[in-house]
Amino acid sequence: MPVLLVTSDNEQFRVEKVVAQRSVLIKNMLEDVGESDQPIPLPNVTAPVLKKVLEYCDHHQTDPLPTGDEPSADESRKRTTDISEWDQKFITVDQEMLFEIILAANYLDIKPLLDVGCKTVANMIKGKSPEEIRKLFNIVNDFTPEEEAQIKKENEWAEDR
Amino acid sequence: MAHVTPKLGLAFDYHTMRHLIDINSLPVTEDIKSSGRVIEEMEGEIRDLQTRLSQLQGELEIYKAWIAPIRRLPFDILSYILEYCGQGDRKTLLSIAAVSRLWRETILGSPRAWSFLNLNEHRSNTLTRLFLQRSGQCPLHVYLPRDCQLGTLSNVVDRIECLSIASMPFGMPSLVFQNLKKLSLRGGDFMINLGAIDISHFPSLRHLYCQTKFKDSLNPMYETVWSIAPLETLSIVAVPNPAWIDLLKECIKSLKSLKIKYSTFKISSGPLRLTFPCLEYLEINNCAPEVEKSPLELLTPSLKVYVEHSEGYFNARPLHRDLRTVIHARFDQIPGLDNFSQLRLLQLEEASNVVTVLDLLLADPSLCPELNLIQALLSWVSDEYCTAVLEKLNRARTRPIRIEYVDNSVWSKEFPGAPETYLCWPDALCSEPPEISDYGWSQRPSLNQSPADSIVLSRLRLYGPDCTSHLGLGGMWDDVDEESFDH
Repeated sequence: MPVLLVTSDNEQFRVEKVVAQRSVLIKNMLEDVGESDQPIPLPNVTAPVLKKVLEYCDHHQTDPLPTGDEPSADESRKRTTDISEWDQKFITVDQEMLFEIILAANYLDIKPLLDVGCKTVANMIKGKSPEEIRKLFNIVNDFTPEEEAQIKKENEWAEDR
Repeated sequence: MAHVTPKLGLAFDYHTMRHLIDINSLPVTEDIKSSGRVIEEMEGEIRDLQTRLSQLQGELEIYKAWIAPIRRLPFDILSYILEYCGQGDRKTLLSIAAVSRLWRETILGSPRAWSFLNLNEHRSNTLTRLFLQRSGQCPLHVYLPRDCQLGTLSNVVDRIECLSIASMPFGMPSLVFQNLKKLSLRGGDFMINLGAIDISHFPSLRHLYCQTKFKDSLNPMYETVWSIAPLETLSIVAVPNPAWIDLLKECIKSLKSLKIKYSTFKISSGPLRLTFPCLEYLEINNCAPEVEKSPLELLTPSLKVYVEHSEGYFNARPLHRDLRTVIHARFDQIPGLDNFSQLRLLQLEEASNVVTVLDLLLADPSLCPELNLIQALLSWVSDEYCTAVLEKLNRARTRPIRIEYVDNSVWSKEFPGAPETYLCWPDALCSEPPEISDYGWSQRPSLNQSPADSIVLSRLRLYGPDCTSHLGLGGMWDDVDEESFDH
């Protein structure tokens, strides 16, 4: 049975229940309202982001659903390091969309998608200097000169072999 | 020419300037004086414009930073990302701590991120001390390169949970690693005494991954007093010297996962019969130059997963014989199938062996009565013959069999319960893998459903043969949407 989802910008998405239920939030809502044609409002997600999220849910609709017996989300995240090829292609988006997907995955409670997003950001950070990281994410260096001096010292220790 | 008035309000008459500069005429004294004034004015305007430019660039950066997408992440997500990307990577960790105040506070508030110490990377004691301080009271994961000493770590041995060494650090035999759970002894030429790993030194040891060899057997004088902590996983190399058997006997009651690499079958203590009541995973790697019967006869009433690699040697029968409870088996050659009364999943490293196995099953349909899935590494060989044999076979069997070809990314995933799944960083991410019983074979749809399709190229047909990038996206246990194959 299809489910009707309504985004913050009032766009409607009709999706199969099995796809929508990849989101624990939607799954719980559906369980609460029972069999109903009522649209499900998603006030924190815009249409372009939901479209992308549903693309992920559709592709992963047959994956085993997380159960209560499994280790915590943090533990399972630590367990695997790699991102599958499809997921990598899926998450190759601009920064704006990447962070919107992470926020939507967090809000909709889709742990595997949250995981893919977080790992992608982590891979972007790995191996970069502080200045490169600042430039990449538009972060302002707000350290005082004294703090800068302390940090410089730390980094000298790291090079001291 | 148009009179240009820059937006910043610094009017300048370019038309006049152009008229003044006639490069072919010689300037008189008055021209020199007036030109000097114009030059000063122009230089002043350039300075003003440069100041304004820097000011605008600064404001632009502030605006961009203010609405930067990364700032929208809640603290817990940012914290997870930073911890994840810094884990075991000292340079990235220090870079993160030097980005901004928020990032510094976040990463300094994640002690686990600082608990991975690869002494191959930081020989500086100052840096090690910094990591120890920032890791708070978190359990430590330590990787020591060959010939490296414990140094500063000697004072915190009770915090070490995982240790990987390639040689025995000076003074280590006198230390007690109260909370050490995982010990990895790397390197083939490094030898160790059994006494160095006994329970008095490692009371909490549960996982021993041993690529090295033991020096000699226990002195009979110590046989009654030597013991090791109740190991749950053990990876060990079999050599003529029977010290490894002494170790094996000591953890007979507690072992759940065992991997034996035979470099020889000639064991000085002779054939032995040992019962492992809790063993669920057994892997035998046969690298012995001689092809003989295994010197160990293991009784394994709880065994669920059996893996055998024979490095090119052909064994007509599996080296391990007590296979009655095995559910999941993997072979790199054609296995003997007569003892697998509960086998459900058979994995064949050589796709070409599938045909032989089907022929064996066809010749004796009573073999492997519970078998319903054969997995093999992806192969583009024609499966027409397989399909024909399989159809014939499935007509004769109560439980039909399905064949699934998977790609290397799926195949190379560690198997449930293998000692490798317990390895610590940097060889693997340190975590407690699920209990072998949690793999729930009975709940795996691919093993239970009556197959609509007999031969499945895992997920491949969902996308067509050209979409190879979609191969093997799911895990080894992923269900395959059979209806989708029909469309």
